Amino acid sequence: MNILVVLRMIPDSAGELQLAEDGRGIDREWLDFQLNDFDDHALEEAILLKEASGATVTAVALGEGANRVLQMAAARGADEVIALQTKDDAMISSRTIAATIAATARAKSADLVLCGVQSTEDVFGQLAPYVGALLDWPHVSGTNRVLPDGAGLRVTQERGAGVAVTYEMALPAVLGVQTASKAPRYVSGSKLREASKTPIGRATLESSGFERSAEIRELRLPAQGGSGEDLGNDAENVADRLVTILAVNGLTANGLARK
Amino acid sequence: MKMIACTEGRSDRIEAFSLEMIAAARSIATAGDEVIAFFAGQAAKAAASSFGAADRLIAADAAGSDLIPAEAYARLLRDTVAAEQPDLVLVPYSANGLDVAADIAARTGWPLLSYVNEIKREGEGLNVVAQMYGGKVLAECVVTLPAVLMVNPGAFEEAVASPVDAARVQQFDAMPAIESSRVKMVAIDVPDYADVDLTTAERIVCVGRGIGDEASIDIARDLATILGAEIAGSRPVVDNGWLPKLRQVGKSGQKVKPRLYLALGVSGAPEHLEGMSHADLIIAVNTDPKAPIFNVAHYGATCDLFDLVASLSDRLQASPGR
Amino acid sequence: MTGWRARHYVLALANAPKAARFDQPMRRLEGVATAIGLHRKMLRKPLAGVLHAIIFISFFVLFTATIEAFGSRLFPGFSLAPIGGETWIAGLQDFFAVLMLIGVGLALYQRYVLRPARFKGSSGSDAAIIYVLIVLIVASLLFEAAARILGGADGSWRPVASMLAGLLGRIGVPAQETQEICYWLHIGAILAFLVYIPGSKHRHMFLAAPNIYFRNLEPRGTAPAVPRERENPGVDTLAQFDWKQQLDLLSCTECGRCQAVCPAYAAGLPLSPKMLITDMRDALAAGPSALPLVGGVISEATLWACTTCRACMEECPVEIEHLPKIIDMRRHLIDEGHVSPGLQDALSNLTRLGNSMGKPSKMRARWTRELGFPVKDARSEPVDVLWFVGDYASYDPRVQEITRKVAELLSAAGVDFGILFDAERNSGNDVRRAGEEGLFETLAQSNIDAIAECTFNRIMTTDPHSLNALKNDYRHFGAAFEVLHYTALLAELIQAGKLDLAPVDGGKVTYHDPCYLGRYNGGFDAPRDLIRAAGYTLHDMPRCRENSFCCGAGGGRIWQSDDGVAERPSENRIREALSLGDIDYFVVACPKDKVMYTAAIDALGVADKLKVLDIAELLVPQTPPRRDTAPGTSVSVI
Repeated sequence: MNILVVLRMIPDSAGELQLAEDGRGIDREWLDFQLNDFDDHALEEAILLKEASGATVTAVALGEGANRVLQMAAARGADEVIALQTKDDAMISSRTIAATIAATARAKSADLVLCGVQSTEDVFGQLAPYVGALLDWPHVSGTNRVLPDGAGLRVTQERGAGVAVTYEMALPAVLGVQTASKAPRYVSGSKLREASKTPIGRATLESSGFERSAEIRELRLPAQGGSGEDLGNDAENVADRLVTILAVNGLTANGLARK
Repeated sequence: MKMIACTEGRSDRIEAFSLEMIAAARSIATAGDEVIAFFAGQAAKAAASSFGAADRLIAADAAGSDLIPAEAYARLLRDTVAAEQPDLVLVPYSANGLDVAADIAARTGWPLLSYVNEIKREGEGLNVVAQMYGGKVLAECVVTLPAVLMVNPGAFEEAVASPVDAARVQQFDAMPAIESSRVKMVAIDVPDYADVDLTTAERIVCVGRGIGDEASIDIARDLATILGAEIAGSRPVVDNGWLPKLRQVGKSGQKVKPRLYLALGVSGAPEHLEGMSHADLIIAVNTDPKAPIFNVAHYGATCDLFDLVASLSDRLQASPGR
Repeated sequence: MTGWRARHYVLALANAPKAARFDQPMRRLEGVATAIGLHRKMLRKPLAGVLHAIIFISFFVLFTATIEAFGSRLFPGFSLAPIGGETWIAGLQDFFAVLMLIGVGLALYQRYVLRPARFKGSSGSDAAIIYVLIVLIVASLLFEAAARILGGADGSWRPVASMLAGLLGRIGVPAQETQEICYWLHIGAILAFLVYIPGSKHRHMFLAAPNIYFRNLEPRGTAPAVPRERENPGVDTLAQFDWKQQLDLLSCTECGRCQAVCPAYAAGLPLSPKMLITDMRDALAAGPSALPLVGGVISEATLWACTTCRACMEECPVEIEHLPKIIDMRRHLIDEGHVSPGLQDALSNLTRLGNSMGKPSKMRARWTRELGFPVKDARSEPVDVLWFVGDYASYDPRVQEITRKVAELLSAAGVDFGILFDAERNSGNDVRRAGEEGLFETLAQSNIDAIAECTFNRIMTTDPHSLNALKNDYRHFGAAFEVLHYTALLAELIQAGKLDLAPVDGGKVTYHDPCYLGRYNGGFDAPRDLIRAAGYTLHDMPRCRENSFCCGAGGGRIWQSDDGVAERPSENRIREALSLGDIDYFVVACPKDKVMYTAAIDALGVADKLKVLDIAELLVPQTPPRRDTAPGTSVSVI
């Protein structure tokens, strides 16, 4: 099995986000970039499949810090790593890169493409279904378990409300991974240093092939705080207020203790 | 303008957000426009008796298959799109929708916008507000038609359920598409709600990543016991194995509507908000004043959650009669 | 037979990897002399120290009796009589035999009546067998002499034996036979003792001195580098430990002093430094087995429990090195990817961003924004003092206030200082001690490169952990900096009259010695001088200076969860401070301490009784901080 896994570097949106001057993007200068968490799980799933079935894993990374993440991928067990050159400081749109990923999958004779189910920047659509449709391969998004099954795969997908569906599918295929079968492993600094010698291949982005796309006119930050009341940051005061609020709403402790 | 609103169901029930998709299409429809509800699944009958807000219903009946693989759903939708030539396709942001929306966009070459909250007509096209960066940023976008939109559940009020005029229901068999699908469903695991059913719980104490570690869950659990509430968790907490999957609130967990929802250290990703924003009383505690959970909370506090839980537990235990 | 029983150990040591422990013989001998001759560490516990000294000296004196006993029969005609064997030597033997019995009596009293907790987990039967054998040897010695006196020998140099002779005479035992029986009993007991030793903790009679001689003479703060010939960074079999590390295992006396001072043990975590050593020793004795060392003989939980506070090594009378073993085994766990979730988050953040909090590097110097004056960028202009601020002091809102206070004090004293801004990375001190050697190397190299770009005279750190890494660990990369802690610099400034403090009628305070400032780097006095200079009265806690009790944060513990902790070390420490009574402030000199102890005081609900203050917060400069810098210097502000 030849696996192609896609690693997208995205802005760390855990902290404060500020808008760029033209209002059409976020200010990327002060941001740190990190591997899309779902892509991290996709990489882990790829390595687990490699360990289970002896597949070869090719990792393709895009965005700021791609080289660093590719070294990490090599340290975790990727056989080949390729940095896909993108425009500096640009948002990585899954719609834009899908054609290149599909072409890479063909070029590398991949029979399985893995990527994270979503990314924070895929407002124009998700990568797995795009690549699947472009290749006309079956695709399943939101997987939390992938096992080799004869010549194909046995894949479990989260469907919400705790419902999980298991599928059998033949290869080739594309999967949008939500959670890897096992949590992503830790790679030690010494393994990372060793992997820093791994040669990193280069590739360039091809045209998306789409004639029409939606456009961002303006970004804005949502109104803060909503309409709720701010109780402040003093735990004692907040506790006092909450006792009253619960009581007013008929939600006192003993009300339920005697339920 | 002709619009297709994609709807879903499991077993013999339709998903509530199906009526939201029809409402979303309806909200921008003007005289002469047509809203077509597209349904694929076992609940074709329920669809026919609920989707009256649409002008027509095209239902692929999958009698005998509890769920329909997205591969088959997308193929059936593709055939419908080819036959109807709509200007707009609305897909719900759901597990199924995630596979369907970009698939149809790629195969038609139409533009796609995801995580859509608002839709307005603007000239020949649409003006759409979509979420980015986990709901921290809103993007106002413009899109020309025909196009595909993946719409957030909860963004539109459900349309009123009423039967579709029988003459306007076009039904056909979905089984050939399911049988020829390259993705075969082999098992459906539906959780056993014997132990806990958050969807019927009257009070919920939900812990998020801010709880820090597994041991601290007990502190929240003690408060839940005092309050007579069920303990629940956001996705990171459940992913870490600190709480069972059945106690997860959000898109991939349970959608809840309790009288009291106390969120401790929950940041409030859109997927989480989708599962709880309809609770009667939402109280959120998070040290980050910019956490999106405060956008839906009725009361918010930015104090340390451990301090608060301790103080609140003390007070509730000291004067249970209040 | 003794040799046969020791063969495993001899073989293991002979095949062990090499260790450079043969340099500086005079310094090594001197250490042996003070450790053994003066019982320096032993006497920290007075009863145990004195009783051990008694047994130890008596042993040497009574060895003359052993020589006589064997010599007289093996070489007919042999006698110590010509050099005083029947006179003063006999007198000494007589006296020390009694002293030995007193020593053993005290030992029995300690072990069976006082029963200190440090003996928990030590082999009770081993100790008991030894006591019985010693009593047997000494008693048989006395009674043999007594029987000889009864048979007509001169007893004037042996008052005790003479007294016993009188006793024997009254009972009416035959002198000749009694003497023979006692003689063979004596010989038998000695031989039994000899044969018993190799399998017993009493090996230390032979191994304590060599183990102390071959002790580590490197600075205490330097963690052992990974030997070049080792294939992987870590150790997962006993045979991979060098011979000194293995000798440590054999030298352990099971005295449990390490266990008594261990914060992890006190917290109820599954780590006793003593059991760590004895478990590995028993595995070494048992020879090759299927049980792996890491995760088998020593559990993962045991290894992760250590705070690397170094109290165990400080306390060990025979210089056993616990930490290098723990660090080497942690290195194996890290290399295998066996990391707890909390630690994985922190290490991933450190890999990605250079700080454990997961904050952008660009935010590192944000604390300077609220300062009334700009701080120099040491990368772009020369400074006298290069300030290495550290993660907690830079990022943690609870500590930033203190960081600004330090900046104001430096400014008030007219110190020309600058920082590295976003070029600074975590020093890697605790990363290294968590076993993440590769990441440590990356962080260290990055800091060394950034520092090399700057022109400065000295480096000052806020964090004792950074102090230790920069001063001691970075030597492995050929970096030699003059590094000092801010308490040392401030004390120096006051001494030199550059920093005038406004006199305060301060109350009573106690001071917590941070492990990496005190025990590791000897910084005991500067903080105390500062406290007094600020006008406060210092009351030290019982565990202070070298015996300071760790807050529980070191060695990567701060990144791990509290799972399994019965009592947090920080809370244990706050209780100790409270027991002093009437203390206003709990003074600290380490950013992690501010965080840990503030949390502990909250958890204990004693915020009304005690407040945690950093030393910098006690110091009020006479002049207000300068609002400008020297003319002509450029400054950068973010």
